[in-house]
Amino acid sequence: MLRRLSEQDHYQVLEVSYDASSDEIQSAFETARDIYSHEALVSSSILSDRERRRTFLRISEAYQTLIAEKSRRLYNRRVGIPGLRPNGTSLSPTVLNVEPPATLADVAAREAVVESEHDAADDVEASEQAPVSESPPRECPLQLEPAEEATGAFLRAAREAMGLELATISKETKIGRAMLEYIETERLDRLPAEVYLRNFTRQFAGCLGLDEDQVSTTYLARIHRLQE
Amino acid sequence: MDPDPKQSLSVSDPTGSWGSHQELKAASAVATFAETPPAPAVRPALATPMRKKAQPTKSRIIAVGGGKGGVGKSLVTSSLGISIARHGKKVVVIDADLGGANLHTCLGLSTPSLTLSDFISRRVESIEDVILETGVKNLGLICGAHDHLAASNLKYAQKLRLLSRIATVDADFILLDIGPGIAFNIVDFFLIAEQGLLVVIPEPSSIENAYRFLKMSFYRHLWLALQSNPARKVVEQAMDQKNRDGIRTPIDLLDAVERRDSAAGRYLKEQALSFRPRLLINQVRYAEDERLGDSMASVCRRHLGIDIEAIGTVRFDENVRKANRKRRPFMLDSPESAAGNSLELVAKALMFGSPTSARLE
Repeated sequence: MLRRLSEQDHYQVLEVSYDASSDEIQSAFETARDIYSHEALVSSSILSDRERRRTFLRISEAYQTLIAEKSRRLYNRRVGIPGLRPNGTSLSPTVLNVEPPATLADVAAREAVVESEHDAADDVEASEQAPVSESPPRECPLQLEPAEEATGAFLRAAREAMGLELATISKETKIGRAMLEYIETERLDRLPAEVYLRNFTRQFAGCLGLDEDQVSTTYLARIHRLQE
Repeated sequence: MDPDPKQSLSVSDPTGSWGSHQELKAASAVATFAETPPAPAVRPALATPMRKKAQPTKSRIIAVGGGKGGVGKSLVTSSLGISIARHGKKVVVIDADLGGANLHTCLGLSTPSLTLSDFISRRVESIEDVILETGVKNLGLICGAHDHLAASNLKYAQKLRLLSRIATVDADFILLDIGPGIAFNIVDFFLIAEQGLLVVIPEPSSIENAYRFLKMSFYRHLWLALQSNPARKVVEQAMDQKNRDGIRTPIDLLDAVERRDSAAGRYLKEQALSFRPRLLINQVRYAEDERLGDSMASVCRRHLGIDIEAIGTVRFDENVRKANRKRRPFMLDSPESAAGNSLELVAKALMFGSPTSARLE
């Protein structure tokens, strides 16, 4: 089973292997640009213009990260790309069969940080050196009903009901404080790609002692709807 | 990409007879609704060839489809048949374009005496009885049933009988020339093959139909795999483009099934992996179209969740038209032409299971 674009890592998005050369990445990007260009036959009959734009944006994001050596190295380390572990062995897995990185928390932290003026660099450093500490289980006085949707306002209310500051959550989850705020206020223009958002909301929910699956699934569905 | 209104599949039949009703409805405007729903005992018969378990012979069944007429399916089928037969393999090509059969013409034969309709209407007992000689060593032909009224409106039981017998034909390779459209009577022939080839030409309508065909046959593949599982309903809904559940792609569908029944979802994801048709781009005139197959495969992987690859491209070649006019099989007339060479590469890729795509340099 293939994954949704929003659930793929940058390599999968570009359909290149984890040890792809920069030439391969460049050529993959150019191919994608041809596929999703405005007049391309190959995508116009199956995707709306909006879908094509979105796809191309996602591909550009992957390309920009991977084409520059420094950002690629950072990305690999933060996401935990299997082919480039510190032991130096380089796998070249069929891109399609590779499981996505186990945790995107570190990327999450970085991305969130870029947007905020928070002293997040420290957080990132910390997350690289120490494993994410297990947060003690909490019981939130506010819980979602079985079919209820998690809104940003609900997350804020739940957090406040527990007397937790954003900074505390940020510290525990390694998600930038600004990003947490975007989630709570449903800032559509600021929220990250689905793959990150899924992870952020799961961690946020976990931190509040809420059902992670329910929160992330319903929150994502809601954002998706709001974006339509 | 909503299906053609004539073929759009509404899914509201609560009686459970959806399978046969819809198939017939989709197959033709003159569908006979009097037909009784298939008995559960019959159902697995259709699914069996796909699951590759009870394979009666070692035959490799290859289907050549495309969703659109006039893209060269018959030319490709006959040429691959000749090519493989010339490698010493026993091949039977079957014209499964019921109602629009012309595979025999591509092989330079006149209107045949025996066709599939003789088998369908039981004038002959065995499907082997309608295999005709083609003049090419090792190559047999089963002609399409162009003269039979019921042929293009094949009834469910007839279709099951035909599908199950095709798999028993004694040959190293069986090549099926599939008709245009996305009706189940078309798609089911595509699905009994172990290898599906989708012939596409670099034109918007062909590309669009190919995606549509892929999507519909993938849904059908999953539907058949589910057998009596109630999650079939979800698949049925997905086939209606405007379904309420917002299922727009096969990935959405697999997620929706998983939400409903996680075991069924896992099973279906496994089954999804066995759907791996390949794209053959025909009538390529410009260099930029050489990559169309790879690009389409990429779009299918990214947006439909269908793992598909291109098997090769066939150049546009005037020799095809010339051979056709002479009523000579193209692969006998000009095997050394540009198109001939490309088709030979594709034949080899099919015979030897070459994982790489055959591309004429």
